[in-house]
Amino acid sequence: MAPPGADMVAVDDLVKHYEAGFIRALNGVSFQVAAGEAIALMGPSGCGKTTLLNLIAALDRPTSGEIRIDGKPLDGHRPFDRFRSTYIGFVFQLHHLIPVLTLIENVEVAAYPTGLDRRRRREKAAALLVGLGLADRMQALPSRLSGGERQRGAVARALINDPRIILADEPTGNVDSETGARILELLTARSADQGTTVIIATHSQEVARAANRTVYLRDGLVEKIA
Amino acid sequence: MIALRGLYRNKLRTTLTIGAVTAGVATLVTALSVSAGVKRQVADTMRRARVDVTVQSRGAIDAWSSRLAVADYERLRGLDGVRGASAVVLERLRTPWNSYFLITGISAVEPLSSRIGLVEGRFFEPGKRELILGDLAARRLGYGVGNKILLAADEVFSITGIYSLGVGLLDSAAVLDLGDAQRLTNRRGFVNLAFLQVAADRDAADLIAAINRSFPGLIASPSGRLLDQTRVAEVIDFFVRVLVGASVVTCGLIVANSLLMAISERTREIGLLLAVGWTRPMVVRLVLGEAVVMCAVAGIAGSLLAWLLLLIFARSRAGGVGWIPGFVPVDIAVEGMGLALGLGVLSGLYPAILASRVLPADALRFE
Repeated sequence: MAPPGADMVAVDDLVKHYEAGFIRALNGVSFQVAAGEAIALMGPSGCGKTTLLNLIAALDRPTSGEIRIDGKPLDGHRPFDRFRSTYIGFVFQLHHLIPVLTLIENVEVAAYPTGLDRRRRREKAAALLVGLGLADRMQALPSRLSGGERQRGAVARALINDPRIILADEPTGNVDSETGARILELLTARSADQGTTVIIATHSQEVARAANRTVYLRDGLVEKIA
Repeated sequence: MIALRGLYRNKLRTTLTIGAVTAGVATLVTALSVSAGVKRQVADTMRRARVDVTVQSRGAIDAWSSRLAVADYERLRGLDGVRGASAVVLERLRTPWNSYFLITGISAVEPLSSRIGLVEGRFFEPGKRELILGDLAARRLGYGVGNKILLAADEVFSITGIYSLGVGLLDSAAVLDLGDAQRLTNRRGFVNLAFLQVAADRDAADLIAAINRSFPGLIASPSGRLLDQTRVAEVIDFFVRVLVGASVVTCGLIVANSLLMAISERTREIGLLLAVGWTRPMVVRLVLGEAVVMCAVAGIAGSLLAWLLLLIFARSRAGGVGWIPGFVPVDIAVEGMGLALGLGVLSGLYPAILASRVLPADALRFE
């Protein structure tokens, strides 16, 4: 694992075009994020924030450019499913909880690929949900949860494998301010206490203020880093 | 766990899919059970009657259409190595009360007559229009010893005894004198079959070979394979195979279609699983798991349904189907289950592979 201060994520001249170049999501983005650093990605809708997170998580392939994770090119981390289960915790903009599974089962789902035994998996999921104030909602189906509870469940799912990098796409966008503050606190605490690298795509100034740095994107390019 | 819960997602679709596969498995198990049951009953009958070799006319569609000249039968009886012989006339009569009532004509002086166990009354006497009735037929018809039975116009027979062979097919029938049976079925000078007993010091295979060499118009076979020598058995076997094939293909398409719909509706979920690190084989196993669970349930339900259908048929008085075995042989139930599971794997494979090839980012964007 990268020592504190070394680059955990390095993005170099990253380009992503869709539809044979008709949609240009990223046009040469470069920045670095140190291990244990929390950064915010800001910019108007459609500026490429989600695309950037997807590329870092190896959910999509860049048109050109390079991503280095923990000092190695992303391709060096193949197979990507293993990379995603060990390196990445992704909090999606929409919670994407599986409707037929209870909240705790939804959290456990992310731990299946790690081979963790059932008891340990359940313990970890329960501890995370308790920490997020969902102790009495563990057995509820997503349809019985409020928007905030679902999003906190999605955060717990992202954290269950103790990822080295947390990618959060508008994690506070669809929740009330109290829940948003709680989620933000949890993510930044992971960064500060466990050295987890956190990259949060957001429109929120509060989130940006809580981050160590903010990368501003516009039209698929880095406008400024502050 | 996820595979099981996935089936709950759309209960109606899951139920309909399981129902369709259940119907397919039930059809298959019923057809195979009937076919195997008939063959077993015939083999049992031959064993009980201590018949070693059966002879019928070559190319006969079934035992009923076999025509063996009495002159040939006499020659067979006189062959070296034949210890005993019985001529048999078989026919399904259209009676006012049963359109497929089986009658068997035998000679009261030939060995076969001594193998028929009477549970009541006495054996028929030749030339007196007497018959003995199987116990199943007697129960269904409500007849007993002393009653009279109308077999055809002006053909009224007295029931002199009730027999039981423990073989549904024959216990649902009547046995009467060979001459009466020939008259009733317009087979004067002919019988359907010859049942031969081989002498203790002779080999049945040698006798069969000798008959097949010397009687080009006849075919001899080991008694247990009587049905296999008839064209109707070939037709039934072929029909069963076609039925099995059609059922398998239809059920496979239904399961595959159901799964394709399911994975299409759950594209984002599959994308999510891949995004959190599930491997493609894990996704394949998930989808296959759903297919196998559905088909396993259908396999069990299909065998139970087949058993129920056979029970109903076996107890039915309609259409002369009362001789159908009222159970599913274990090997056929296992075969049905194996087929259902194989079907689950085969039909689930394509949807499973399709699901595993989803690109996570595209799947998560899927509306």
